[in-house]
Amino acid sequence: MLFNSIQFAIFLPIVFMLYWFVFDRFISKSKWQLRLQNAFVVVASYVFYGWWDWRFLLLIAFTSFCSWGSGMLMQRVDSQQFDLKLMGVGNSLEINKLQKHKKLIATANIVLNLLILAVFKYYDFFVTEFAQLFHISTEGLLLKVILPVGISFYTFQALSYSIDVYRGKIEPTKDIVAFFAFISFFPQLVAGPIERATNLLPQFLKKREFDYDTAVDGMRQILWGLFKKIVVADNCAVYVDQVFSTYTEQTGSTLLLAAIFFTFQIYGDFSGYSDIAIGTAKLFGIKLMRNFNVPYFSRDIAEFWRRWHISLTTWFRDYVYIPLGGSRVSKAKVVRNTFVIFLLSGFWHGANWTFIAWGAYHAILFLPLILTGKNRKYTNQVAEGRILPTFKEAGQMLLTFFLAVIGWIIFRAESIGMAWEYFRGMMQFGTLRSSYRFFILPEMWPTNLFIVIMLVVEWIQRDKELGFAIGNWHFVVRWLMYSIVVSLIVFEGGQSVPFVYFQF
Amino acid sequence: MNKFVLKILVAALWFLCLLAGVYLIFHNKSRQANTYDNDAVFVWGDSQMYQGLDAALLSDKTERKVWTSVGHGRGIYDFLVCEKTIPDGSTCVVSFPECAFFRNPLSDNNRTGLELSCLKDIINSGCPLGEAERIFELNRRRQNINYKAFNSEEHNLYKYADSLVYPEPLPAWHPLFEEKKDWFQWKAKSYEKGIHSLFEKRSQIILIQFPFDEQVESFAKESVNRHLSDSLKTKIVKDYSMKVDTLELCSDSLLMHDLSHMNEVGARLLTAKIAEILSADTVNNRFLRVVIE
Repeated sequence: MLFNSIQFAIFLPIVFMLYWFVFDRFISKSKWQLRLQNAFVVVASYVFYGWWDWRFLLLIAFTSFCSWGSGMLMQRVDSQQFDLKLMGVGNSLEINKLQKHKKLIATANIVLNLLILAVFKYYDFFVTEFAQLFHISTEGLLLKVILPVGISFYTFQALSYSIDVYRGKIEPTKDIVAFFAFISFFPQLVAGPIERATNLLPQFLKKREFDYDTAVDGMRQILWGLFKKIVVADNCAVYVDQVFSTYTEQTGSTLLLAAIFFTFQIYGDFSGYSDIAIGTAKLFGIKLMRNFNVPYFSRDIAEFWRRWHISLTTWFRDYVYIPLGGSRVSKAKVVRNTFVIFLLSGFWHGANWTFIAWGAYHAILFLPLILTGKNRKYTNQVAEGRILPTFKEAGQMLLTFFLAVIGWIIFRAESIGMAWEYFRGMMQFGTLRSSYRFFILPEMWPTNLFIVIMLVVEWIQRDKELGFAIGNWHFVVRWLMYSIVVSLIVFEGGQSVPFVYFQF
Repeated sequence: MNKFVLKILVAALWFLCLLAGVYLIFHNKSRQANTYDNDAVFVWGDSQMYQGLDAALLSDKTERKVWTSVGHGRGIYDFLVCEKTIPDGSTCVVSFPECAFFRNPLSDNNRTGLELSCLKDIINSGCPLGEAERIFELNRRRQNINYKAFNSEEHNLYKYADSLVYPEPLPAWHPLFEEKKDWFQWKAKSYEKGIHSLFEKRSQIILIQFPFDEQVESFAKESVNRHLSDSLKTKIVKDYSMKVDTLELCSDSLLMHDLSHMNEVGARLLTAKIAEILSADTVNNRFLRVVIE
């Protein structure tokens, strides 16, 4: 089920009403109330996911069960260790043995989850690459299974639970229903934000209270997310798809414009999805982590990565980069660690060399900053306390944006060869001279205008957590804004295009 | 909680009224844009008509204005939308689109405009709600509400070539004719509704069944779906007292571009014949089956 579909527009109010009016109010005296409400979340989430393909529900259920089970086993080991220590009968050898046992359980679950991910997402890629390398036929070797939507997202969520339990950062939960709700919570099930067990799981273990202001904020966030997705991203997609599918026949300026449009498409698409997900979760009294923080207003690439797909970036930071030593090791190791997380981050997006190249490209841009200790130079918001940026800041933002555009070409291309040809096509004489023409073409006006609206609103609201935080504006202005946005979504939105990140 | 639900309901009502108002404004503009002279010739069809009729030539030969609404993948909903804008008593050249009847609705290019009455018509004909929703989604944009159904003499002929091209291999055509299609019934019923409306408008109707290459015809003529389209044809011909003609196109040159579309030579030959029919003093409602000899 897509967020931008009529099915979801019917599904959401029904689930909302049942969640608060049946499972919260009418059975509130029951000691089972929380469990029933969580069970309802699981059922609703499975319906949401099963609408796409019910067969893969088994996969989510299996992942959830294994991760919950591993948590329970680790807890049993922990309590054995505790008993030994408490009674003073255990020697360090026994305690070490139990610790190894715990590590083994965590590792087994991590390997199992990664194995599932590898089979569905990467197996065919590796087989094809090996076959090409050794000139053998792939006939009969490929699985050719469709990629289950959101597998990378919920697998990483499950992994974070196992690792956090192993590290003792979170108590494993006995409540299997709450755990299933944590893994499958429908707003963020298929495209994130990738939640940590430390943030989301405790919210399923206590009674949620309806908060009027939070719910209204959630509605505003959904509205803004729909605007970014349907009005900005889907309109850009029409032009981008056309140009990328015929890139060999296009002029340099057309290619450049399509690359810029894709830069806004992917932002509108993914941050739009995240806004809808976070807004929807707020309606159910759940707070999800922020996933985007105006990344195109970044002054360098390091800042860009602190603001883009925050849930994935911090996941890799916490579970890969820091365990590898982070930046507190020798320079050679810093280089290694940087490449490891960027390459992994690229590969997480899909089984294609383009994603790996995209990761490597960003690693190369990031390295000079981390090696000179300037990677945390800009931790505040740009032009803080001012309306406009300085010339220097504007230049820095433009340069960072341009570097991101280059990266997105690699990301969007179907192969490295295509990316290379695309760059060559863009480097034609006259590309920059004639590019401006596209901005004055009448058929480009609406899309250009929508991008400008998005940028202006996000610039004004850049120090707020929500792009459409207009709760304190005058009633008339506020409702005028809502009316304009709703009208634009319905009458100016592009043709429905699936969310880009669904494929990951 | 109750306050929130109440506010949401009020907001939903407000947005509904707002959207309805905006829709009516655009739609009214579209009504004004779709005013045509009833002396003109109106052509509707899918790709077979788009590639198979030279609208400019037809206009020259008949000395009448020709308005076309033709294109690849045009679906039956699209026909209903166009039919709504055709003035009373006009002459209509309409494709009898076998491909559109048999093709999966997901491949239909129903993008001319949003007409709620036409959506209602296809739903009443048995179109699944999901498909109606898809059509709504394709047409909800401003330019589809404030639309112009017909263009002036739009056509696009395939250049002549000595041999057929195969955008799709021959085996790909078998399922189109030989596998029973669930959607045929509602598409056929909707099409009949459109023809009925034209008939009620006292239009002079010429239905054209375009030819397929003989390689396709060899298995299509005995196929299950051809039987269905033949029954539909028989029903329409009988209900609207149409004269049935077979238009034979003869030439030493190849007249087809591919397995389902004519090339420019074929298109011009056919256009000339249709012009002859339209130039006759009285034009009866006709069903023309085009055959290449």
